[in-house]
Amino acid sequence: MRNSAPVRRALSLALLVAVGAAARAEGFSESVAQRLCLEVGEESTVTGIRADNPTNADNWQGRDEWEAAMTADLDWFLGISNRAYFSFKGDMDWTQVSGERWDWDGATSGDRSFRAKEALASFSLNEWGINAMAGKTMRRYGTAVMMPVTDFLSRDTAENDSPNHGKWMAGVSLSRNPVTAEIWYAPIDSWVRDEYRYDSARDGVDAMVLFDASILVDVHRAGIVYYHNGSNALGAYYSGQLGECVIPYAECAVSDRPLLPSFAPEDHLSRDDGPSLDALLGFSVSPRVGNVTAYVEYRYRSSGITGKEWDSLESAIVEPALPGGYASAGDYASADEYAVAFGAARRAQGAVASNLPYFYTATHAIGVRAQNASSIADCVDYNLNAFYLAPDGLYLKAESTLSAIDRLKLIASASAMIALGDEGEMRWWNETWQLSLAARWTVSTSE
Amino acid sequence: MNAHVTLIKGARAALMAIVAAGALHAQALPDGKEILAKVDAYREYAKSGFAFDFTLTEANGSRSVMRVSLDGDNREISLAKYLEPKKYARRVVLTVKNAFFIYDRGMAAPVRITPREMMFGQASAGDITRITFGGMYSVVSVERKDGAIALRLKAIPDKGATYDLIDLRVDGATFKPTLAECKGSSGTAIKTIAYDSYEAVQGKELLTAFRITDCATGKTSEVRLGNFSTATLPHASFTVEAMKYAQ
Repeated sequence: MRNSAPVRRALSLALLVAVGAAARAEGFSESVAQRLCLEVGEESTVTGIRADNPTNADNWQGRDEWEAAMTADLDWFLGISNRAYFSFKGDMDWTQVSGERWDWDGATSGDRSFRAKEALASFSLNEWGINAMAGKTMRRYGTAVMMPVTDFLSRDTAENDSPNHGKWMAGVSLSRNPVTAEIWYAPIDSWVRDEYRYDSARDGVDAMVLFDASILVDVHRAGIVYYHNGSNALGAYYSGQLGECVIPYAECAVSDRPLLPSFAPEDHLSRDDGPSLDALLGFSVSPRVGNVTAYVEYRYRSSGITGKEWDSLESAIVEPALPGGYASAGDYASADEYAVAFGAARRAQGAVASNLPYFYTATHAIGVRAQNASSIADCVDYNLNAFYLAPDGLYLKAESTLSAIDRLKLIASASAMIALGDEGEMRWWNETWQLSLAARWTVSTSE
Repeated sequence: MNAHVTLIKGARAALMAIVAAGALHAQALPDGKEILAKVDAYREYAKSGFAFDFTLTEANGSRSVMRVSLDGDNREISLAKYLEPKKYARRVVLTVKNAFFIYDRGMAAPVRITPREMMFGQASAGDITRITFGGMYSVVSVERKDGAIALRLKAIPDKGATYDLIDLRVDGATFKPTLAECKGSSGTAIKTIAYDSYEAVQGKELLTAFRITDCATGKTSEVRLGNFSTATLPHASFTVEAMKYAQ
């Protein structure tokens, strides 16, 4: 701690010099620009609960049949002479549900919840292409075509808590056209509670480091990613363009451990802990005729869950069980002992339900999407999605957005999650269908 | 015989006169590249990078305003930020040659889209950010018609041109573009652009308004350019990753 004061002073001095240099050409007050943008929204969702879910028989978890969420998205920036920026971005929601929630650690969190999804501060010295960022955020790297099916579906669905929660971390990026490099770091023990449970089994074991470098030459964009979080993963991605209408894209990653995050205790689901491979191929096409863009995407995941593994997980958590093979109330010496065992089984089911990486467990998955091609300034936007999770999962979703007046958007969506059999991921989903209505209002001011 | 010789001499003189007139006419018409350079000067506020407001009004009255910044080091790169309507206040569009990226509220990362999707009313991104013809189009033919100059332009491969062919009409005296008929490779008309208004901006005469009509639908969008400034964004701001921090 004694040594940190000179470092702080040096950093402060460097910051002052940078800002001073940025503002030198003009008077300081004349060179300062600010913008504040706030989007508030209200969303109501009605859900059909899946009755035969192994983790939620007869909806013992009391999953919510309706949910109302108020969202707020704040964006503020301060710019100096177009050379230095400071910005803050916050994204949060406040949710009211029809019943109590069964949290991952077995505690009920009540029928109201507040969640800060993102709180990211960044400082940019554009002149040199340097950005420094810190806060809670989510990073996703890849081909970033609009939209990789796995990306938009996992973001759009309500079941995205576990893999997509933001992490408290800090990063630096450096840009020298056409190359950009970025590195992020998250310590083992964050000074705030870490909600990022991408790999809960390794939580507290290792610091997270993420490195990404990309290059854009002509219409070709390629990048490499290194991700360290207990395991080491190396990835690469590419997107190109064929004529004016087609964008092909691909990404792959190899890891010395499974790329699929663990979501159940090892005694419930024991799996091969060796190397794994993810690969994704896709393309988008916008024909000259008609206002439509279509996306087709295939994903292979060598660490996907097999039907046999699902069976073993189900048998491990479906009934209360103690060492010795006791399984029913009559096997226990007392009602209290049975209650303890029963509670343990319920907690195991709740933990699996809340950590299940929805959309990510299938070895083979195919997605298609259609949406209006001219996504700018249209009065009505729509998208239709279908996603097949082998061997028996089908996800369908339709969404329409009406830009009623400036500042206001009205969004309606309907989705169905159909399990065609009992061998794959879909029957572990909590929902069978969802209907949602949302309104979003944007306010912004600048000087 | 004399009459015959006289006739031949007369014909020769007439031929010479025609050739001379043709040569004189050709001399009066500058080279195609020179014409394009003069045409481009009406869109080029500064030789270095610069920025301007792009205001688009569609046939139904809806209006949007973008701040377009052109990279000083590479004129094939631009960044457009929405100022209006409010619902797009966070939207940013990056154009790198013929590759397009969009970043908006709620996106985890900038996403790539095709030129076909990158439409602003009836205007394509190229209509907005490709401010010059020179370097992207070669001149196939130059012709003088009724005091105007008609040029046929053909896209140079891999230069990021928006259209395959353009029939460009230019004022014969001032070289201001007046009308562009934009066509596909087969010659099918795609859009017409009528260049309506020129104004003096800090001593330089610049194009400040034009109308784009989609030939398939007949719909027209009006565009106004203004608030020109040499204060563009630094070079490092024109990257896909930097879009997340662009303000």
